[in-house]
Amino acid sequence: MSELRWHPLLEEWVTVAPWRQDRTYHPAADHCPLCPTRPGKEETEIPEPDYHIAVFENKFPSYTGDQGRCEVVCYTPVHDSSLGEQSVDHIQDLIEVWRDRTVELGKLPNVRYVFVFENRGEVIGVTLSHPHGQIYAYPFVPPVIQRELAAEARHMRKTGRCLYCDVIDGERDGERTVLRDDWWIAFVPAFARWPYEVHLAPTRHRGGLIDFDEADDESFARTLKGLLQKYDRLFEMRLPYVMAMHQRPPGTGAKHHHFHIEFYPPNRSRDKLKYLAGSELGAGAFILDARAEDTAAELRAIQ
Amino acid sequence: MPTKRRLKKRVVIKPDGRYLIYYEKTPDARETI
Repeated sequence: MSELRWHPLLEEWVTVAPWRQDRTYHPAADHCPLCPTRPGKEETEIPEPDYHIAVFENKFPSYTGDQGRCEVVCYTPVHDSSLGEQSVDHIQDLIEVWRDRTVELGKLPNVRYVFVFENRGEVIGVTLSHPHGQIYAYPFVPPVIQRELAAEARHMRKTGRCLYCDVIDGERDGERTVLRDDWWIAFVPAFARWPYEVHLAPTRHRGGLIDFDEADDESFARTLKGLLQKYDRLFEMRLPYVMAMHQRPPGTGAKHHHFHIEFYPPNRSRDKLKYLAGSELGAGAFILDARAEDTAAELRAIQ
Repeated sequence: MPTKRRLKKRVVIKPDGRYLIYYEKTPDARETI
């Protein structure tokens, strides 16, 4: 089990899991643990010769047992592929998997938050290149989500409205919009902290994956694919990113939360990265050398 | 209106005790999750 240590100055938990030091590190493609097991070859994490979508408990978990869970979500059996290269229909299946895991993990007695995310690209720290995401079921509400929930609750008390609905309403002129349809919008928020940061969200108030209807699912899959295709065409390479789903915590509370996904690509150009350094890490103050309006126009123009 | 189920799931336990879930596409597998 991990050790949870309290940071008294920041008032947040630090999770200590030393065994993760030994996790699988950049295996050769023919030794990928997320590929199906090929006849006559060594067994991978998935012992069958093919699969559609597979989920398993992380071999090197940050949370396990009574603390929570860490799961790996294998998007596809195809090694050299990506989330954005999947069909809209396949992404809709994936949404169903994310929803199912959210419900199941949210039922565990000590789980306070289910976080669906993807780290993509070596510069992000990815150690397995096979297309996959992760799900962490935390024994606490993580600090970024806590801050969001608190801000949303204050806004609701003050105005009677959803904070994020107001943020989306502020995007009506389309200057920072990357793409949208009748149900979902992708935009570079005015307050972006990364040059090509994008938020993807339903335009109707929805708290989490379990609140979506058929139209939400279909539009979500289509806009997610559309955004990821734009990302990969931006510099004509598979753009690294962190994809972070912010959904409401399990249970019936937090009605004021609005589901959205935040994407943080670290690139500020094809070959230059934005690093978190003194101001960002030491003081928590992001300095951005790009305007959201300009990067949104750039992304919007990509067909 | 809630979403319809598109997948069925099959859970297996690995030799080290971890679970592995296959989500499989079956046209008539609605409501199976």
